[in-house]
Amino acid sequence: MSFDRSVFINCPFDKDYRPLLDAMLFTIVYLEHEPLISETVDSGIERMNSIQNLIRQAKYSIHDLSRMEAHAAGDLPRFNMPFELGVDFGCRLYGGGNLESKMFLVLEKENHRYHATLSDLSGKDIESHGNKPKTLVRKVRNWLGKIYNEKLIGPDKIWEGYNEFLSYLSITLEDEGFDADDIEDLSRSDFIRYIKDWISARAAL
Amino acid sequence: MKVTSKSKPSKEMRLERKKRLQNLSESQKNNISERLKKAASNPDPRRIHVIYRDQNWITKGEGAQRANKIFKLTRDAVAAADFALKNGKVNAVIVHKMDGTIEKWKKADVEI
Repeated sequence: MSFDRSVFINCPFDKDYRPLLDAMLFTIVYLEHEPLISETVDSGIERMNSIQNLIRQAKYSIHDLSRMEAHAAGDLPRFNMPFELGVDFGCRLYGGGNLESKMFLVLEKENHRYHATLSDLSGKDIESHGNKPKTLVRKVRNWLGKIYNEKLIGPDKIWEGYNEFLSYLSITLEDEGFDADDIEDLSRSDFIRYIKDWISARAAL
Repeated sequence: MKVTSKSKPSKEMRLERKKRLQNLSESQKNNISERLKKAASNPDPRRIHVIYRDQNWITKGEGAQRANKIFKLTRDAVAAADFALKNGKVNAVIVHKMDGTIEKWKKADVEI
């Protein structure tokens, strides 16, 4: 997909975040964009190379900082997400060419939490999803709607389609000898592929 | 009506399935894709979904443009869907969690 229709996603890939990521992926594909994620590269250098490439390929980026916190008392918070956000901002500032047109949506768990941790973001497009996938669907859809300045399909329709898609995927996986809960173990590239299959079949009705 | 119950798989079984799932061959992936497309192009309006929607719960037939009804409480939405299932007006009820995943899948006694 072209630079103009690609969306780089900077978010955690842990199990707890999965429902939010899956709903985000579905929304992006539903709205005819290509999600770009880096979930499989482990080593530091390769990972940064891969992220750098994805950032350059996408006009749009969604950075979710909602997990910028320590897991347990005594743990240090995770700074990968704000770091990648900084790289992306840098790409827009110094990359030149069409990279100057890059646009970002920064997501948080609660309104204004970033004031305490990343106040340089003040004045940017920051939205909170409250850890609710349905809210996240609305925020992503509204953000793209605002960019294109057009009325996109409603967030409820996208959300309901996503719920139906999950039930279809569950049935299909069960028929293949898996369990409905195994959806979370699918690679996200396979998950995106199945979202595209479902949406294209549904759109043809 | 019968409720599809899930028995909790052992950790080993889960790991084995995870490994299998993450190493699907291209033909297995194609098979899943084809089944998914076929199912998606034939929505069954007699299959009803209970779905969370901004502080409310809705009941909605598969592929329908609009919700059948909006409820304040999950239990009321589920009760309405169960009632329709019991009376043969629908042949399956799929109750979703707030995150969209499936909580329960209830089928009529007849095969779907």
